[in-house]
Amino acid sequence: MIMEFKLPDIGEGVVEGELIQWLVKEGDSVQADQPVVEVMTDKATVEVPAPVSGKISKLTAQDGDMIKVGQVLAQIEEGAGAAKAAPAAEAKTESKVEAKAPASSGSAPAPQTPTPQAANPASSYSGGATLNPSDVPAAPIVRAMAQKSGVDLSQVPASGPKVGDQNRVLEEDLLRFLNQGAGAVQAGAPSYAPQMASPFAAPATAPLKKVKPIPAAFMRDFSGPAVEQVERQPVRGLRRVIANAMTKSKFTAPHYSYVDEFECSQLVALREEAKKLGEQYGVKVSYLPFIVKALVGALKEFPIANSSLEETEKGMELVLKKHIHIGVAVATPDGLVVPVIKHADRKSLLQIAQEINELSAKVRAGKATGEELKGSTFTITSMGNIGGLFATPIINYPEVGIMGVYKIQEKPLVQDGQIVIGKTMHLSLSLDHRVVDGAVGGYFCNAVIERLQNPARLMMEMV
Amino acid sequence: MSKQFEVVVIGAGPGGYVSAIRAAQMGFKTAIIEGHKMGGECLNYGCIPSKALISTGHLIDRVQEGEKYGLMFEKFHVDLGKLIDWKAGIVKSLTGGVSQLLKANGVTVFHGTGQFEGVNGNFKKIKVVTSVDSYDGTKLEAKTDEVIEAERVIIATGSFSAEFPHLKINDTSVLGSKQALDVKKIPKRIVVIGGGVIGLELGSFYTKLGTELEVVEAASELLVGTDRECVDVVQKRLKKNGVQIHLETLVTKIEEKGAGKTIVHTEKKDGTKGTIECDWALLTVGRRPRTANLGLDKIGVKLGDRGFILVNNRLETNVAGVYAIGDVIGGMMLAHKASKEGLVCVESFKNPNTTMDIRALPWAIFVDPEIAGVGHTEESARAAGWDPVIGKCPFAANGRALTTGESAGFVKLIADRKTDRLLGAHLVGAEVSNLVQEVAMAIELGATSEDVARTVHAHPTLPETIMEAAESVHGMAVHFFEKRMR
Repeated sequence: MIMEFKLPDIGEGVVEGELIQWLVKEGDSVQADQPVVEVMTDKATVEVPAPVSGKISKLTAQDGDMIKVGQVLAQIEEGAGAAKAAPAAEAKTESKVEAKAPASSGSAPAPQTPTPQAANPASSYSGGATLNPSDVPAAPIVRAMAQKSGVDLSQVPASGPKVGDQNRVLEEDLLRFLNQGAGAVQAGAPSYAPQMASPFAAPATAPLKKVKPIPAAFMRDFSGPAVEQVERQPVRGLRRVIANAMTKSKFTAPHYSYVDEFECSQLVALREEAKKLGEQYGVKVSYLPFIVKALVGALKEFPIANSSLEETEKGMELVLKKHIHIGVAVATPDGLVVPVIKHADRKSLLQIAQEINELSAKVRAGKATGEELKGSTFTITSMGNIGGLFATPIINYPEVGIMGVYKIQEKPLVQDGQIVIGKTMHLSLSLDHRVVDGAVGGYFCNAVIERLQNPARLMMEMV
Repeated sequence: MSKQFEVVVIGAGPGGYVSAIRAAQMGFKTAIIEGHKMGGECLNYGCIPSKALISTGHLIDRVQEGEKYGLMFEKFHVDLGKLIDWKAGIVKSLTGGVSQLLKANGVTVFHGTGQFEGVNGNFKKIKVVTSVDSYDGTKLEAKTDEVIEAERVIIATGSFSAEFPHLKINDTSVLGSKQALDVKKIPKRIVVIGGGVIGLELGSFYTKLGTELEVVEAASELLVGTDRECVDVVQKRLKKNGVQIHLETLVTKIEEKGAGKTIVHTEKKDGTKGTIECDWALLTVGRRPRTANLGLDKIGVKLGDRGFILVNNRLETNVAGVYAIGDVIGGMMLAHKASKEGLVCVESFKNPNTTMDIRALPWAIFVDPEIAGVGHTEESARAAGWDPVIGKCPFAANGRALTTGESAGFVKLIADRKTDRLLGAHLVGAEVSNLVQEVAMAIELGATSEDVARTVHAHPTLPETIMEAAESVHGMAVHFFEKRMR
């Protein structure tokens, strides 16, 4: 019989959740208690188990849907194609409509540990080993892996040595099966810099001159009882991607930051000219294309900074990238996104300027494609419109470096024993010390600065 | 507030202490409650001490037949006191090791018996009772009772020797397996009541000391459930050694006459009555789950018909967060089964998908000669839907067996006719307890008998018999002649 698999009461007053992903697809055989769908509530992400054994005949909710408790998630053809049931399992006569409450990935003290919640069905194990003709031949490690990932081994195409008309399921068979199944979930472009918008790509807003009224936030009314409150928000979508990517970067690549300041009057003058020329073609030319080009030159001089460190089956490998794709961090209302200027070493300044403008507009409108957000080999983040001296940005892992650029300001400088007014900019580099040592990072920074301080140097190598 | 733990294990036998150590290794705040001695039945009164005695018994056999090998002894006798002391030393060193391991892994040890008191939210309240005597009457160090709380509880309280209303274990005329390990003097004659594993292991040991043995068994065969051909080899040797076996016979009464004289009254199935005079009787009529005084009713843990705790295949009882492993849930009462269940149970705390998934549970019986087995017998394989085919190799065809002077017995492999998949092995002979593991590994890996046959086995060793038996599955054994071809 067909039964409707509904989202069960997950407890703790939760009324709805976001369907993160199905762990099974239509036509799959499932066993009772096998986790089949991952649902995220504002409390936790839980794996909801199938209430009965059978075949998933139809999925009625899709990844990303908001599901209310009691809403139908799927139809299960009870008993059909069910994989081996526990031998001593008691016959289940009642047709349960609600799925069993899942073990939640609870909170403290052990977040990864499900807390026991629901009472269990009566005994199905009475001690000992079993070996039945339906038991797929596979080594203990493969069976343990299959259990952990909730895979029925009879569904896995096997390539191991023959046992009768079956093949043994190898570890690699299972991994292949798991990868195909989980391939649908691709994280969006990870992005890593502090929140900012590029002042070069989009002109900075005019500084505020007028005196503003004091914001309400500063005018708390303490006449009533002081109440401490927190608001809990689910971390979803881009925010979650950012959170995970940042954690991965910070905990994988040991960062150090290197900061310098340089005089940039020549760059300012050059950009003024370029800006006028660009306007003829309707292209706004900011400082960013020049910075991209200076970075490209430095990367060619120091190819090690255009690399990544990978753990492969051969051990640790340094992957030196011969192409130069520059990521440009762009702030959006949902969070930071990094569109990529592909082959920045083979494009003209005007091309790069146009591409930056188009990509950042697309990103802000939330219309950038996955392709446009992938593959950067080094990233630039700019805080020019916000201010500050400099930041220590987080690397866009697995890249090995990120460069922060900041606002240009007039400053007294000592030149030939005279105090003169100069234009200066800070520049900071965060680098992965596993790959780029401190001295190399310093020279690399010098190489960028040389090209920006003296644009003629930049022109000499430009193609 | 009570001390709270993420995992509390009740009972520090081979199931309990293994679970506690693994739980601690996995980062759980863990405690273990033991009302008696660390190591449980296995280390204190089971596997370990009995094997120390049985190995010595075997040595006595070898010494006594020494003339055959040209070893001439002037005079030889057994100092039972020294033997028992040596055995006690082994037990002490192993149980001390368990205590150290628990401590090193950061497991908190409570001495007392654990009793469920109720629940507190997600936590189960357990009273550690130290003011009463533990189950076997040993006085515990007087301390105040304490209630601790556990998010998850693993019941690993094991089992105890079964008794009958008219047959109770005492220290003089009716001994249990525990008492029989610590006798002061070599008995002249003993009666083993119950021809199962424990009775025959200990009974056989006493025959090595010169004791006359009679075995009374209610069933029509010894070692019920064990491969018949294997049991036949052992039974033949028992008879050769003068052991009298009374099958389909019940013990109706035991009379203690004093001065080491005990009369066992028997009645055969056909009504024939008889008496056997002996020093004492050894009562080994099975083991019962130890669930009394646990307070299971306080939290509603369900028991099955025979008093074993009911669990699902990740060892969880009907009460969420309460688990049970080992003898107390039934099945084969084996230390390694309890340990395995404990490991699976703890692993399931991190990953609820983890369930018991073992295809081979090897076992060994230390009778003379040893019997060992794993997986299906011919009958159980057929019942499970396989089409079994047998391969056999006698130890008499094995060079190594002959050079040790012990060539009785054989190796029997069971494979599936259609797929050649290995299904089981049953072995009888010297050292077979050390041979069975190869087949267990092969079964777990899903190997065929041909895989085993094609694997080179070192010469001259006993495992060559496993290779030959695998060849014999295909009618291709080299070192003995078989008429049949497949």
